[in-house]
Formats: sequence, C-alpha cells, structure tokens
Amino acid sequence: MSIYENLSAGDFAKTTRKRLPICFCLDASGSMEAPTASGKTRMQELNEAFEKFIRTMKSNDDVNSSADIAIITFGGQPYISKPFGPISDYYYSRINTVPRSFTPLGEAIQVALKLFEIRKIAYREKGIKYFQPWLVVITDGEPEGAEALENMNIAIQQTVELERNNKLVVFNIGIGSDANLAMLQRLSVKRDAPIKVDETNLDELFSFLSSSSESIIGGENQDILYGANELPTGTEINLDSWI
Amino acid sequence: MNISELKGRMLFVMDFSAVVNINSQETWEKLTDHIIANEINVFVSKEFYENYEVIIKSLHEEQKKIAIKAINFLQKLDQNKLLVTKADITSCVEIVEKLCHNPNVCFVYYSDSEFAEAVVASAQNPECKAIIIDEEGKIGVYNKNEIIEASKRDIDQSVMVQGAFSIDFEAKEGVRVLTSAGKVVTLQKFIARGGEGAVYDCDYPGNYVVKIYHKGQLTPLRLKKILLMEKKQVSYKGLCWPEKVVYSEKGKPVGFIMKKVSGKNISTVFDGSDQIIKAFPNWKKQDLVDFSIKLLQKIQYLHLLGIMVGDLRFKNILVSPDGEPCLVDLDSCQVKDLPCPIGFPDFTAPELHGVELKKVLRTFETESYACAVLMFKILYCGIHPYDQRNGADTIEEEMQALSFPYPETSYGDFSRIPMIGGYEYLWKNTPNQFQKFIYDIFKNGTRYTVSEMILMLKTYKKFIESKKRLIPSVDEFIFD
Repeated sequence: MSIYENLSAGDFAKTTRKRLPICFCLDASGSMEAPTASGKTRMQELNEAFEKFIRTMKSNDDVNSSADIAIITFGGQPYISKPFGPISDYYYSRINTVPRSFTPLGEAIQVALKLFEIRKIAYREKGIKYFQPWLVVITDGEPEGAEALENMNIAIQQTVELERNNKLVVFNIGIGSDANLAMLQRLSVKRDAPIKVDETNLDELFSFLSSSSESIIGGENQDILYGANELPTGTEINLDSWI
Repeated sequence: MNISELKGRMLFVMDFSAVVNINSQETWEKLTDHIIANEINVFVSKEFYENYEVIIKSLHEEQKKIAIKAINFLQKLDQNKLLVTKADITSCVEIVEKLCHNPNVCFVYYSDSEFAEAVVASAQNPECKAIIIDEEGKIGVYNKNEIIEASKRDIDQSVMVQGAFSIDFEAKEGVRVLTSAGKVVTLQKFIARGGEGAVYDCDYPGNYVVKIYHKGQLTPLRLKKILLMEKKQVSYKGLCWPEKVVYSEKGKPVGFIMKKVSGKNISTVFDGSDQIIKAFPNWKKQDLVDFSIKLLQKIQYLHLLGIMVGDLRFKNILVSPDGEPCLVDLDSCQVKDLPCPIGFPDFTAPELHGVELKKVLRTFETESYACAVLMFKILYCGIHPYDQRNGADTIEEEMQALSFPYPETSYGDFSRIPMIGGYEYLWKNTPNQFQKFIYDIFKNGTRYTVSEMILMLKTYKKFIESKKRLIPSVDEFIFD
C-alpha cells in the first residue's frame, strides 16, 4: 500500500557516529594462574578489572554509541573470544586461562590486525567513518620457542608499519614482574616505553583506557594517548594588567 | 563626513543589523528623521523581514521595541512612497556588488555584521557611502574607500599570549562569589565537570547556574571574552549565554552565571531513526524542519548582535521535551575581535581545515557552512552530508573534494550514499526544490546565508503543509 512498507529502522544506520574499533589481546596462558599479592590469581584480577571497565565504557553515552570491541585471548593458540561488534551489544563474560599453555603473543596480534582490516572494509562499504583503531595488548610473560618468536617479529613489523602510517594506536601493556618489557617496547615506535602495570592495580590502567576513549571520541587530539603524564606547563600571567 | 551631508536623490540600503545595534532612541530618531525630512529612498531586502521575525522573539524588551519601530518606520516610508523593495534579492553580497559603484547609494549597517563582511569582501573601489553603527551604538558616516577600512575586523593580538591567570579560589558548595554590582551568589549543588571548569547550581534569582573555571584555565582570551559578553545584550529563549561575570571575595574573576537549561543532547537524539522515534514518538518530517528553523533563528539572533558561535556542533545543542533547541557552551563564541579557538572538522568549513583556529577570526560565511551541515544532519537522521560508502579515510577529504554522494534529483546514482535503503528513501522524498538547494550547497560549494536557509526551510514547511491538506502523504512520515 505505502512505499515505505518494506522499509524498517534497520535500513538506517543504527548510529551515525564515528566508530572507535578497539581490539584486546589478552594473555590467557598458564602463567596467568599465578597468585598475586592480593590472594587472587592474575586472571581473576584481570577479569574483575575488565568487567568494571566494560561497565564504565557502556555507562558513557558517547562511548557506548561509538566503541566497537573485539577480544582475542591467547594461551596455547590465539582464540577470538569475541568478534567485532558494538560495545552497546556486548555483555562481559569471564575469560578463562588455558592451563599449562605458552604465550603465542605474535600470532594473536596478527589475528587482531586481520580483524581490523576486515572491520575497516565493512566500515568503508557502509560509509561509516572511524577513528584510528586501538590494539590493546596485555601480557604477563613473553613468547617462547622459535616459531613463536618468529611470529612475534612479524607482528612487530606489522604494528610498527601501521603506526608509522597513522593507521594504528598501540597500547603495549605488561602485567607483573615477569613481563618482557623490552620485547613489548618493540611493538610501538610512538610510545616511549611500554605500559607497566602492577597486577593488583589493573583498575588504574583500565581507567586510563576508558577516559582516553571518551576524550578521543569527544574530539581530542591523539597525543593524549602517548604522553599520559604530561600536564600542560601553565605559564602564569599577571592578572592586574587585565582587569 | 556628517549625516547632514547625505541628501538629494539618495538611496539608503538598510540592513537589520543597524536597527538592532542602535541602542539609543535619540540616534534612531536622528537617522529616521533625516531620511523623512530629505525624502531619501530606503531599500530593504527579504532578509530584513526575516531578521525582524528573529528579533521580535527576543526576551530583551528594548530589542523588541526597536524592531517594532523599524517596521513602523517602513510603513511610514511606504506611505510616503519612499520604500523600495525588490522581491528576489536576499543576500548582502549581491546588494553590495550591484550598488557599491553608485555615489547616491548609502549602506546602513552595524560594524560587526554580515553586511560589513560582504562590503570588505565584495566592494571593489566603492563610490558609495555608508552609515556604520559602531559598538557603542553610535553613527559614523564614511565615503568611498573609507567604508572598507571602517568595516574591517582584525584579531586581538594581545590574547595570543600563552598561559593563564593563577587565581586562588576553591569552588565547592556553599562558597560565595560576587557579581560586578556586588550581588552575592552562593554556589549550591555540583552539576557537572568539563575540561575547562565546573558548573554548580546557585541562588541567583531566575533559575541560573554558575560556571567556575578550573585552576589555570582562565586565560586572557577567556577573561576578555566573558567581560565583553557581559556587555552584549543577549537575551533569547534557548541561548545559554554568560550573563554576568562573578568574582571571588578577594575580587578576582572566577567564572560567570548563565541560565539553567535542560534537555537531551541532540548528538544522541538525532543519531539514527531509532533514537528520534524514541525521544519524540510523534514527530514527523515537519517537526524536524521546524526544529531546524528555530535553531537557525537563534544562531541568526547572535549574528545580528555581531556574535559568531564558532564551535557549532551537535554536542553543543540540546532539545527540550517540547522540541525547542538550546545552544550551550557559548562562552567560547567569537565576539568582536576575540577568536573562538575550537572547532570540530565535521562542521568546520573546508578552508579552515588545518588552520589554527585561535589565530584567525571566523567569518559569517564559515558560520553559514556549519549551519548548512547542522541543517542537513537534523533533516536526515543525523547522517553527515559527506558520509558515504567506499569513500576517503577522513571526512575532511570528502568535504574538501565536495564529494556529495546524493544525485541532484530523485533519479541517479545512489551507489555511494550510506546504507542504501532508509537514506535513499529520505532523499527521494525531499521536494525537488530542496534537493537542488542542498545539492548546490554540498556539491557546488555555494554558500547561502543563514537567512536564506531559513527562507528555504519555510518554503519546505509550506510544501509539507500544503500536501497534507490534499491527501495523506508519505512525505509526512519519516520512517516505518
């Protein structure tokens, strides 16, 4: 009867906002079962902090309408725990470790980069604009064995090239004292040093991530993602001559 | 030059900005008496009447009064056969180009107006004269090239200095501040915190809130600006203007008061068809057109007072439950020669992309561009005019390339529009005259003034209303 009969709200973009694609690469290897000073295991700490993080992100209207997330866990081999989707549709579910497994960090990163590529194609096809994607790597150790190290080198080459072309933001994060920071450092040329976090203080890390995402979506410059501790050096001006 | 020298067979071109900014009865009468006594012809464009409609809604009694006086004056001129109108001329640029070479023509306008901008941009070796109303509301008469110099606007260099004032003040509930008149204002409940400052409820009568700048955030630019804003007579529904500067008990400036507003941010409401229906289940296309008209009229009000918003974007606009738009974060507006240092690329005219916004003054032309983008996004469920499939990486590139993805009519190539389906339907159900207008703006890069956009939206509104009376039409409905 009417020409709009075959149309539904789905024929419109659910939201017209610029998307921020974030992919988490989370260490689920055996070492994450290690106990921490708080009595909980590293993985328990990570799960708690991550759940809180998701809730914080969703509670902010802007972030909830703009962020897309994907989660890859790696213990033994990389596993796409959550393929890309809007954060508004995501409900946190617990990440489990793979007992007695190694850390295929390089492979996981390569999978993440592939997911980004596919996601970007989907954005372009639909006419959706996006911010530079975020690769958030969290590990408590390092890859071991010739094959794993080889894959790590490949991953590093890829992330560095993307960074140089302004097509990727890397958050290279090491938890606890066993994380190989020197190796993590190589993942980024823009970040002076990898982010070192105490395993019982993951909340602060995720707080930084959630407030940074708010800022980027709100239009701030990318610089704030790298120089987190730089406060603007305020020059003091004398008020008297102005009133 | 003196106004008494302007006589003989003259034509005065009166811009509404002159009317609003003449702030004394005496000056107005001096001007109008001179016109009548010397039988001077007066020309007003369509914009004059549109601007009258904007000012008549002002909450400032004096502004309303002078607007009514102006219309009465036009009637008097008409009776004396001195009023000249030409129906199809709207824009000041056209008027300036056509008339500036005639020594019997005198333009009458406010120094910080769209008309002044058109004079500087388009008057080549003018032979005409001008009566320019200055900031204090006083008349100045200029001849030939003098008028260009008197209409120019240069940025205030003194505010380019880096740094901020260090003011010893702790903002929290219960703390007292003072207005310049000495009235005590007490901070009440904390409302919100932004990058520059925090907003608190306060006891200033009339439903106000107070914004206090954080330590190190009150820069010379911000201070000079709020002091100037206090002097500007901005009083309009839906404009959250910094009305009075407040000082600490030690006499240091710390912030300002503004009217309290409530409403939903349109960046969430006009974000896809779902959200619009959720917020306003009974709204139809006509309501969106109405909303755009109201919003542009509020912006035009500021323009008439010589103020440019600068940072126009969805995030700084709210909608009240009864559909009234409200502009917030107005303390960063450009006033006089004080720049607006912020802007979002999506709404910023392409010639300003990559430019350091704190070092340049915006123009009415770049404001109009932002208004055109706002208008499009409101009418088309929040989508940006340059959003497209398989496009460039950034929206700035599309804006610069004028790569508007919709065809000029309802027939053509739709392969690049975002998500074929809903948006194709919306475009096809836009009246052809309006399609051509939008196409001209975003594909050809033509800049229309805010008044011209308001006129076009009113035509669109009439179209919708006329169709309603005939048969129930699909144009009434936005979506399923």
